[in-house]
Amino acid sequence: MRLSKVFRYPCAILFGLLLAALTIADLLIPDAEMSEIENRALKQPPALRAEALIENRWTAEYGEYVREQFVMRGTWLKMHSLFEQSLQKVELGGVWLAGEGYLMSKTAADAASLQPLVQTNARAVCALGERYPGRVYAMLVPSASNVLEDLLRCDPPRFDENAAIDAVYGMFKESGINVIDLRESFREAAGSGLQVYYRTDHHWTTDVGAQLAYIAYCEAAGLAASPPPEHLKQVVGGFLGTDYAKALNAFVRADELVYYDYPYTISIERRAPDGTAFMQEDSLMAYEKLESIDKYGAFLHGINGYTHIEGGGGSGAIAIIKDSYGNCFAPFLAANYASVEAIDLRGRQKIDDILDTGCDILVLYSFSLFSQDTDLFWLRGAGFEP
Amino acid sequence: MLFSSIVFLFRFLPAALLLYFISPKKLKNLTLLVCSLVFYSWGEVKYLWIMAAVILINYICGLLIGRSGGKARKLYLAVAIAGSLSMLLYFKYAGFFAENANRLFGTGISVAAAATLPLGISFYTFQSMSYSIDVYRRTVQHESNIVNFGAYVAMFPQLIAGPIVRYTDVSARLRRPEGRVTLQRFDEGASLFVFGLAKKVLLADGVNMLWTDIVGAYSGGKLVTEGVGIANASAPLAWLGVVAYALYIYNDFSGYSLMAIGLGKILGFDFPSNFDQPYMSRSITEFWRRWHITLSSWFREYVYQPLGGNRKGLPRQIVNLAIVWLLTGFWHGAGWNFLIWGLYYFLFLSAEKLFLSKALDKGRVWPRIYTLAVVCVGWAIFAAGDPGVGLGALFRALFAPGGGTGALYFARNYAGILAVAAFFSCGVPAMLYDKVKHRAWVRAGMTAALLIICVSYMVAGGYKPFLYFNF
Repeated sequence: MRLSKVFRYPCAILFGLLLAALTIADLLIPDAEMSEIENRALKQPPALRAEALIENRWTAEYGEYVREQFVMRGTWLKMHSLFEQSLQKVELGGVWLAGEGYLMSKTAADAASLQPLVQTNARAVCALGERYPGRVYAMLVPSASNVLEDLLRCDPPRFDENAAIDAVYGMFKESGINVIDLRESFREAAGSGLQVYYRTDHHWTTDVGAQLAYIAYCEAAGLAASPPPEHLKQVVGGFLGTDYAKALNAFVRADELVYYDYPYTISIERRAPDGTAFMQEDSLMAYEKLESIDKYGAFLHGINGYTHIEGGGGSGAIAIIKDSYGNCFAPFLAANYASVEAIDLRGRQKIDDILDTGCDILVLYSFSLFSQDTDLFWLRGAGFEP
Repeated sequence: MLFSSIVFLFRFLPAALLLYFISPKKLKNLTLLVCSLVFYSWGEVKYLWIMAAVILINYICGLLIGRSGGKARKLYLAVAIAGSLSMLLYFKYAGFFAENANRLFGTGISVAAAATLPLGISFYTFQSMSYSIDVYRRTVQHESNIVNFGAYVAMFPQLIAGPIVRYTDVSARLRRPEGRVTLQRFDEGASLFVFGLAKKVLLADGVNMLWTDIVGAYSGGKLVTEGVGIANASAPLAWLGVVAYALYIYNDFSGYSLMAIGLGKILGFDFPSNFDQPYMSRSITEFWRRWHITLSSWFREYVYQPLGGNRKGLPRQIVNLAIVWLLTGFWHGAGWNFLIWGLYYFLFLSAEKLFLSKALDKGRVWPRIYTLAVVCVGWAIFAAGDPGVGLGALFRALFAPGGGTGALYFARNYAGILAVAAFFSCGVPAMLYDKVKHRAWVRAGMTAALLIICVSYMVAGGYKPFLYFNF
C-alpha cells in the first residue's frame, strides 16, 4: 500500500499508534509498589488460583491491577482532576474544594449510618472514665468542615457534627470525664485569620490548632501552659497532604508544616521477630519523612502503638490515648509532665499497664476518626472481649 | 470485560486485533470466535455453556430448517425457539416467577437459577432466534459452517449489550473474508468507538455520579458508598436525580452501541444503528423509533407483525400493542417495575394512535416537552428496581414533596457535566459532526484528544459497568 494512501486515514493511524504505544509502554514499565502522589500502596498482580479463575474473581482483580499500575498513573490522575475542575466541580475524590484553597474531607450526608459506631465508641470512653475516676480528660477535635463551614461552597449536605459532639460530651460528663471543647477557640482563631487546619491535609496545624488544644488542656487540668520557644520553630514548605492526595486538584496551594525541634529523645515500642516488645530510642521527628510526600508522618514517626517522651522538665506522667492528631500535640505536654506516654490503639490494644501507674489520662481524637474507629472498645479494659 | 476499562483497551483489544489482522483469510472467523469466547469468559466463564448451547441449538435447527420442507420446518423452528426461550426464561425469569408464586399461593418453590443473570443472555438469545426465524422465512440462507455461525452470535463487540444484529446484517461479510478489513472502515470505526467511549466514560459516568450521590453506590447489590437516600431527598433533588438518570441511561447505552458499531467496523462489519437522537422526538411513538432501534424492530418484526400488527382492525392492534409492550418491559428485567414500565408506554402509544398524534403533529414546542416529561417519568419507573431506590419512595419524593436535602449543592457541583451531557443528547453535535466528518485530520485530532481524556477518566475511575449488562 502506498504511504500517501495511508495518510488519507489519520484517525486509523493515530488510534492505532496510541493504542500500541500505550500498551507497549505499559507492558515495559515495571510495577510500582506505591503511588507516590496518592501516598498509598498499589495493587500487585493477583495470584492465579483455579477457583478464583472459575468464579471470575481473578479476572476482576487482574483488571483492577492493570488499571492501578497503568503507565504514567500520576499524570493521568492529575489530568482527570484538571478536567473535573474545568467542569466547575466543587467536589473531587471525596474532598470538598472550599474557599481560600482549603480542601476538606467529605463527611457522610446521613447521620443515621454513623450513629451506632459513635455510640459504641462514646460508651467505651465512658467506661474508661468510670474505671479511672477523676483522672480522664477528653477532647474531640472538630473537623475543618465544621469550624470553617463558611468556606464550603453551596452548603453541601453533611453530618451534623456539632450535635454529635454535644451528645457525646453529655455522655462523657455523666461518666465523670473532664471534657475540653475546642470549637469556640478554633472558630475565634480562624476568624482572626489564623490557620487552624492545613489547607491540603485533614490534620490541624502544629502552631495554631495543636497549640490551642494544648492551652485548652492546661486550662482544664490547672496547669500553666508554656508556649514553645520561638527559636525551636522550624518551617517546612511544599506540604501537600492527605486531602490533596485524594483530590489531586490543579492550582493547589501547598501548606507550610511547622514543627518545634525540642531536644527530646523518645522511645518507641517495637516488636522483635519473636514477638517480644522492646523500647527503641529515636529522634522526636522522623526527619527523612519531612523530605517525602508523607510529611505529617514525621511527627513521632507516624502511627506507633506506644511512644514514651521525656526531657521537658515537668513532673508526673500523662497518658494520651490519641489518633494521629496527637502526634504533633504530644511534645507540648513534655513541658508539664516528666513523662508523656502516647498510645495509639491501632498499634497497641492492651494498655492498662500504662494507665495503672496513676498518670493523668487524655483521650484525644479527631471527631472524624472517632466516628469511624473500631479500636476504641479496647478502652473497656483487659477483661472485655468484643 | 468492559469496553471502558484499561484491561480491554490496552490488553485485550490490541491482542485481539493483532491476531485478527494477521490471521489468514480462512482462519479470520475462527480467530474472531476464539477471541470472542475469551472475551465472554473473562466476564463470566461459568455461563459460557449456556451461550454455547444456544449457538448449537440454533445452528442445528437452522441447518434442518434450511434442508427440509413442509411441516418439518415448522417443527425445527419450534425447537429452536423453545430451546432459546427456555434458557432465557429459566435463567432470567424463573426466580421472579417462583418468588411471586410463593408469595401468591404460599408455595415453597426454590429456584436454583443463577443469582446473577448470565451476561448478555437477553441479547444473544434474541439474536439467535432471529436467525432461525429468518431461515424459516427464507429471508436468509442457512449457515452450514459452525465457525461462521458461532462468530456471528458471539462476536465480542455486540455480544453483551447489542445492538441486536441480525444474520442478514453480517452474513455476506462473514462468508467472504476478502476485502472485509479495510483502512477506511478501521478509520471510521476508530472514531465511532472513541466517540462512544467518550459518551460512556465522560458523560454517562459523569452524570451518574449525581444519581449515586442520591441513591448510594452499589456493587453486586451491596452498598459501597452511602448517598443522601431517596427518603431524605427533597422534590427538586429527586427531579434533578431523574434528569441525571435520563442523561445517564441514554449516554451509557448509546455510548455502548456506538462503541460496538465502531469495533464492528474495525473488524470489517457494518452493524445496524441503535440510537437516533431519541430525546429530540416529538412523540412517544417517535421516541421508540429512535431509542434502542434494533430491539424495537425485533419486536415489530418477530412479535407484532406475526400477531397481525395493524392489519386486523383497531381493537386487535391495541391488543397487539399491549402484548408487545408488556414483553418489551419484561425483556428489560424480571421485575414488576419493568412490567409497569412497559404498560406505561403501551398507554401512551395507544393514546397517540387513537387521538393524541393529530394534536402532536400540530404542536411545535409542547410535543417535545411532553415527550421528555413522559420519558423522564418512565425512567423513574425504570430505575425504581435498582437497589436503594424503590418505586414508592421515589414517587413520594417526586410527587409528594416534603422537606429533605435540597438540590442546590448538587445542581452547583454537577451543573457543568449536566449541561455538557444535555448538549450532547440533542441534535446539534451530530450536525456539527456531519460537517467535520470528511475532514480527516480534524476528526483524527478529535478522536485522539477524546481518547486521551477518556483514558485519564478510566485510570481515575473505579469499576463502572454498563447499565444494560443487567438486561
